[in-house]
Amino acid sequence: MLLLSMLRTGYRYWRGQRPHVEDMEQIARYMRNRRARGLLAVPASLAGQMRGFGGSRTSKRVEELQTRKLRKTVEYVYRYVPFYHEAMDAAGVKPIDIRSLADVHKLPITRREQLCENGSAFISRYPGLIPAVAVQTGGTTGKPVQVCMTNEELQYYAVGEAITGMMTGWLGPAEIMQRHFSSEPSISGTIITAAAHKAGTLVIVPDHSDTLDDHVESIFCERDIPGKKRKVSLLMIAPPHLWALTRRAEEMGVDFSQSGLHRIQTGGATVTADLKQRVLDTWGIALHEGYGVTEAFTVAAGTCDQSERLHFTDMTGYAEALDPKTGEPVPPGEPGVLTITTFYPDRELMPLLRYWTGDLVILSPERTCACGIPTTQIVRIVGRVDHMVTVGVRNFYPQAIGDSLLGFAELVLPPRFTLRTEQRRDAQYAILDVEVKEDISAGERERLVQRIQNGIILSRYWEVRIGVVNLVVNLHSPGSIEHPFPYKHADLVLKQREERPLTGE
Amino acid sequence: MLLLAMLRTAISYGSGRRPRVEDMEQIIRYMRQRRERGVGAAPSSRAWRPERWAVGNPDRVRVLQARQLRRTVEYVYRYVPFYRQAMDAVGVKPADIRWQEDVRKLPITRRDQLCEHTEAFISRYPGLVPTLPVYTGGTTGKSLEVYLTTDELRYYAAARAISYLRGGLVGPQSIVQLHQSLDNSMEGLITSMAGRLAGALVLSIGDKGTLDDHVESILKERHIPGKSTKVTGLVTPPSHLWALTQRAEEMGVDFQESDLKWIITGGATVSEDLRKRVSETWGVRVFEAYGLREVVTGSAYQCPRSERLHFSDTGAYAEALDPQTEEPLPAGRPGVLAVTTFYPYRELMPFLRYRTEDLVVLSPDPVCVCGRSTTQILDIVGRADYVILVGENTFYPQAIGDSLLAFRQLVLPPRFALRTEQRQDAQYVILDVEVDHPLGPREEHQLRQRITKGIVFSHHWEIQCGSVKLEVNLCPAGSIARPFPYKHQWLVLDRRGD
Repeated sequence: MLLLSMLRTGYRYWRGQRPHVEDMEQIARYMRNRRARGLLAVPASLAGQMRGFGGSRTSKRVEELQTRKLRKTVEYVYRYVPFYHEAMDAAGVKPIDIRSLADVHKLPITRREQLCENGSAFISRYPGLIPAVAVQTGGTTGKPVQVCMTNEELQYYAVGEAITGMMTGWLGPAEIMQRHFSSEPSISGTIITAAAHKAGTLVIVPDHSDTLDDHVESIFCERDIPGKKRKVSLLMIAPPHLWALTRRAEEMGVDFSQSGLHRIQTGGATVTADLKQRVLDTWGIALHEGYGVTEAFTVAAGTCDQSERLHFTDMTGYAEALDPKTGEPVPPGEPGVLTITTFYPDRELMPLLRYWTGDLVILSPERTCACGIPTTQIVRIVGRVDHMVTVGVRNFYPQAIGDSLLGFAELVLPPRFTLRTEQRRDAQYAILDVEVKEDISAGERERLVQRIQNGIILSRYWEVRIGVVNLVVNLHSPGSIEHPFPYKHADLVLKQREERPLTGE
Repeated sequence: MLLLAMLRTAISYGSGRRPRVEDMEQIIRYMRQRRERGVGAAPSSRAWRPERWAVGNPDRVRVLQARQLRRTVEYVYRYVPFYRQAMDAVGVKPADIRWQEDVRKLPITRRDQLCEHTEAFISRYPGLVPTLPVYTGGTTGKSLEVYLTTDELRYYAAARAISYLRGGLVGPQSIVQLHQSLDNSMEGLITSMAGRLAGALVLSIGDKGTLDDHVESILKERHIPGKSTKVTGLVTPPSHLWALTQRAEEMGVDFQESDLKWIITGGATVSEDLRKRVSETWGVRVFEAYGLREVVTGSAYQCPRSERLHFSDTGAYAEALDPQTEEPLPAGRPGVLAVTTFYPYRELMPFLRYRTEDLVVLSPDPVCVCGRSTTQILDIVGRADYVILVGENTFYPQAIGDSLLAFRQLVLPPRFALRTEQRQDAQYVILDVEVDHPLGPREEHQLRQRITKGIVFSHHWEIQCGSVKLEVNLCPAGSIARPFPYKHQWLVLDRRGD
């Protein structure tokens, strides 16, 4: 049965089809049992063959597979996804026009506003698909974007992650994971937890009422659970939280060599070189960075083992960098807006064509990375082309921030403000500059600052409460903020985005 | 294949074994497809209720329970270090336990023991892998941790999905709004997994948003292919349901515009007032669930035809004990509920006679008015200890006292009492605490505010969103007649005896 499952899974992968979850579950069980016996997830001979299979992946073969999947995706969305049927008809493109990757530019670009306003039109009408999971991310209009998936998709992603984690050796029944990504409605938290459970890993999620001290203590706490390591071995955490946690651990005078951590994985925000170095100097291990956007989560990128680049899994999607103004592809090596096409059937309920992430990146001109894998690589994440600000792991658009400032009558209304973040020695700082109507006394100023700190949307989150993110509010006289964030007019967001220089972030 | 899956599942239930999850998932797929076609989840034949073959016949229930009990005792004696030692200490061998009457020979498990020797309660049966911790308040101030395996979690979710589908509560058209945390809470996770298996779209609100957001989410129109346009089911703790209803009234919503068909509560008991209020506003029935996080399988659910709560007697054995002598009490008299969870439904951490400290009255009549033969809770009278339920979370004096230690103006170690009251707008948690010396009005105000922000439960989502409100009363030193026991474990036990 196991052999049959393995053969069927291998064949379906090779054909560009999604394997059966039941087959993958059986493989995951087999790997888990081997790991529980202290063995590698798969016998060394088989691992060698699999490495051989991976190594034999040439640029040309990847491109062929991508082309096949792209054609299949375009046919599928044209037939079953109302939004794309309409958009392709409007652009005069038929599935037959898409024969190679070079034809991608004929396809319409999908923007976050469209997903936000017309979410249901992005859901496939393929018979038998049942939306069962809804995850949310910040929306440009202040309303969150809702992304749905089926239960089968969730199980597939989770078991896929479990198999990968066990094969690369970081997931297994002896491991204890401390996870700081919040669970639903966040996609990474949901999938990573389900994957860890399938691999037999114990997942500890610190309570939101815990402090940074509790988080540090939990990492060093000795646990006596049969079959498990004695201390937390995996840490899943957002970069600002990792920074603050490391700082707090230093202040507490912990002996980092006493930690049982052998992997730290970050996600939700970009990692600075300072943080990487700090983690290496303290915890003594390299940081594993993950890049992805919730809306197109099947096309995520992970750190290369031998370079600073981020690898895409080209099997599940197609990534391109576009000129922020013209929407045309930029030459590799030039900064452009990352745009992602998620392939069917890896993404079945809500596949996206050319999703405009708003992230400004530089893709590698080389198809083959320094580590020898032929894949699309992000050389650098330059910044954003819109006014979205990531605080902790949460994305905030001007609309949501402005809405939460409306309650303060002392402010210029509608609010004129800017928000930026800075990583300082102790924590990440979210700095809000906002205009007040007229001069107010020092005491009133202080009280207003405090009220804003307590009442603004950012303050609701636990990252602010426990000191992972510190909120600073600066009050300014009317008209003194030169380039306030666009607020109350969605078209202004788009207009200012166009006016903004590329290096503005 | 479906027939085989059904047969295997029925045989497993009939012989007291846990069915294969893969078989159950196949049955769920079939039921879901039927619901999609607009027909009942299963044909009405009795063959579709294999786990309930015995429920109408007290003798069969008794025989099945005795078999499960024997198997559980054999299992824990062999694989669970704590029970091996405890049974040896009282001179009981598995062979001594033949029928329900023999249960009294078994040792009683207390929360303190579980808190202090958690690892000794974990089964050493080969191949069991703990993956999911569940936390609940501990008597010593430290959270009590129990564990589940992934296979157990999947089984509970599949069993609940079948029950949802068959009862018509959830199906592929449903949208369920869930106000239970999915982190460290087994109940929320199982509900969410079960809902998804049954094909529902599960909106896990958890600790996000305000009461206004929660009300709006219920009434919001969604245009998701194949789904109802609005939320059809709500899962929430009673205190939150109360505040949510109050807020909806204040917002002037037209309750008739809601598509809610049912509300399930858990984590605390439901008052008559709440039932009435929900019926008058949302116009739907509240289904109450009773259970303890650490016991997992020993849950009770509301009878569809009465106010009683039914135990699933095939998954656990429930008894009411005298709080002082710990001898079983005749049914009909209030006693402390003790639960024995049966293997293999609870495999990683099965419990023998777990003392819940909930004072309940069990029905003397083994057959309920609905015709089912099962243990029934007639009334939950109260607690035999000082635990306080804030929203859906339990707090012991130790944890509350620890969080008051930082306030130097208080009598130290803190002397305090805590109670909850359901008022018109929300549940109120009222903390009376003694101050060391008289304070000025400004100082009093500041101290109250600091305590409100700093006390252990102030960061829970129910308090953050206003469904539970905190009131702090500062009292003169020595004025609280019966303060909660704090800092002395023996005092807790001693007072419990009172």
